[in-house]
Amino acid sequence: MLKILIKKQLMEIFRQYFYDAKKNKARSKTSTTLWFIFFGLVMIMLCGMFFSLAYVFGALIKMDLTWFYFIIMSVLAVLLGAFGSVFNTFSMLYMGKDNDLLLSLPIPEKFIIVSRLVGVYLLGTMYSVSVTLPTLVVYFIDAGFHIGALFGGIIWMLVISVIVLLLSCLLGFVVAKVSTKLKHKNFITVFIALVGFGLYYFVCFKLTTIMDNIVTNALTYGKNVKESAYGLYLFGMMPTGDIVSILIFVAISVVMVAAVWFLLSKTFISIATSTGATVRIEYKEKLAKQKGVFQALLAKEFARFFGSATYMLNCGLSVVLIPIFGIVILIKANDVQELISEIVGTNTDVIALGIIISLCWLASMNDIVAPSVALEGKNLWVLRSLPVSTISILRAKILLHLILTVVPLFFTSVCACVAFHLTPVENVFVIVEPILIAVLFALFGMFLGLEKKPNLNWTNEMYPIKQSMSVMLALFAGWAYIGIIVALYFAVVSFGVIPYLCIVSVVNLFFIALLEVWLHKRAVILFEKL
Amino acid sequence: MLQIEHLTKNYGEKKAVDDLSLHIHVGEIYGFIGHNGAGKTTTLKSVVGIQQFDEGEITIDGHSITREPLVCKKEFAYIPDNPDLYEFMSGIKYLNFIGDIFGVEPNIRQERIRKYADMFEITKDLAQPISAYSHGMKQKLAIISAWIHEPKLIIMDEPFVGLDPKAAHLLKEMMREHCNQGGAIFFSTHVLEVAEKLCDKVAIIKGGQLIKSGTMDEVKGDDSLEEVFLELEDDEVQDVKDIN
Repeated sequence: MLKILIKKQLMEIFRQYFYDAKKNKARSKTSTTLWFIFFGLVMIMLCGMFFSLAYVFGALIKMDLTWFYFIIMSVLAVLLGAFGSVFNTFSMLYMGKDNDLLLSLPIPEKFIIVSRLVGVYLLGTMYSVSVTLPTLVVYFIDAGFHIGALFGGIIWMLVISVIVLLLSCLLGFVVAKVSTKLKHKNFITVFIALVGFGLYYFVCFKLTTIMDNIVTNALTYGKNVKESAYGLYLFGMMPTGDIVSILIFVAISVVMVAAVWFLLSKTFISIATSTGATVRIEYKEKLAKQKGVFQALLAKEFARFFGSATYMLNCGLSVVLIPIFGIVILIKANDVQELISEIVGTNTDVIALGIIISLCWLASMNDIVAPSVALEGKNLWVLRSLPVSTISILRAKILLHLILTVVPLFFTSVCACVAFHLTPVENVFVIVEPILIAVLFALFGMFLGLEKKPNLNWTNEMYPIKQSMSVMLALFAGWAYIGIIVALYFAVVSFGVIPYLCIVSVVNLFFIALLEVWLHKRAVILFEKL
Repeated sequence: MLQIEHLTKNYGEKKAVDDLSLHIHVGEIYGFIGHNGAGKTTTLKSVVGIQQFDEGEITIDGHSITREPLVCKKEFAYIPDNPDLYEFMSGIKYLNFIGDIFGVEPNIRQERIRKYADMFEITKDLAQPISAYSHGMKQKLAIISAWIHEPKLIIMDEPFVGLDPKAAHLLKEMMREHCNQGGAIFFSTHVLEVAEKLCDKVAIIKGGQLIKSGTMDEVKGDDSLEEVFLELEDDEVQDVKDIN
């Protein structure tokens, strides 16, 4: 029975490799093989990335601080494994759509938990191995291969994967507990994610400094860690084949697994069967404000956007990033000008081009329109049966994108005009050009969303948002378009920025006009055929 | 009120609806019955303009659903077999959304929401997100949203599924009242007892073809609707056996 449950769990994890949700049918063997090859390539790339990192820290091995090298890489592996899968852990452990079905069948509860844990374990191990494996390889390259270290290394990899599993379960448990209590779950999720992104980019920005610092001061740091946290020293000795460390940490792992098993088995049913509707909102009758048809459609689009953390985070991140950029421009005008000058040159007109390109690039990261038709999903009947014109439905979706992109763009453009001493004509372009790009990308998003037949049969909104080809194309096509604008200027253009921006504006207006014609003629037909 | 003339809809080579004609007049509750996959939902979806059809004509109050869809859609309300409503909205927001689309005055809207929500006992839940509603509550909300703009014609696909007995009783009363006030109702159902007691007219569809229609007396005579329905099914089975 346990075997069947584990098999079902694995099928769920790798479902998209075997099943095409868009076509609602099983994939061919070739398609499945190609998906697995793609997965393998991604894993190789991830391992390659951490191999380079391990190679840098490999300097510690030569300094006779092998244990410190393993500690640093262990922290990375645990962070990547546990935090990379925390939201998946929550949904995988507790939010299974088949919870009710499985709990109603004569299956021991512990089997259900174990099968779910296997899924969590595999996911976490997939992440942690991409760090631990290259770490061991670098160690063998630098210190030479010996059987004791291989044995210790394998045990170390297993212990890391167990730590990742335990941390994931504990974090998943906390997320589960918190999510049943929160009132504004979507906004809090977005806020936490933004803080996470901020930290991530901060660490990435400072990574070289941090690594240099660690390697330079390795002896001091190593000495301090060994003296104040001997346990960490022992942990770092494990992959070198130190038998005492191995025995100690295997024993600790067993105890930790038992503790988490106890916690999960005591709380699984209550969390898995919780409805989550603990915060009851009381209805108070009040007179509604009458809205026009288009206003109502637009309000509906806003409600959908702000009602989904996934939608906001994946397709509307620039709603926040653009004004942040504006504030940074105001506060750090000189630094930003220096940075732009370093990249594009010192002429004021080229600086204007740099600002415009930065704003256009930020605008291109909003892909709100591309998945908007697919997001109607099974609700499509509502719009189709109401007395609203198709063009109004599509326009409401486009306007949502424009409001959420153009308003922040305008704010940041004005900040740029205030911060940099540009000519009046350059100021006009700094304001107008990003808006034109936003309009163009909104229309292009609709083009992709409808021409690439939208998947309306999704069971989780993550499919049309995160796994949709139209969203990915919208993002990359936007970057490519901006890249072409920049490349053409530096490679081909021999005249000034302003005439070039005039040409770019005309080209943008031409594409906008083309897409407007498409919207009225073909988009309406495509939508009505859905 | 509603005229369906020679409606034909194909899914590939399969005829889902084959040359179907029906007339629904003001004041009539018209039941549409048939086995699973007979073509009921396809017909209803074609009537409300959410599915394109291959041949035939559908008019509502003299307006064609294909040529004047907006004029037609202002005249009717549709409740599908599965009330997939906007889960990101609360119940009250959804009702106000529908009210805004149909231009229902706020005062009148508030009065109707109060009336129907109280009747279905979901007033307290109106501020809750629809995602927290049970199937029955969603069905009740879909019914309220249909009645909120007082359409002339109400089209429903299996409206009694998921409703508790009290709500089902209320819906039947609302349907009768709507027709007494000059409206019309066209609905599909598998519950033959309900159809027999409630409908003025009934149509039986099988394999996409209309096999019997008319007033309840014309269709069932002295038998029960269930007996007539099963008899028609058996005839069809017998025909198939004869052909083989």
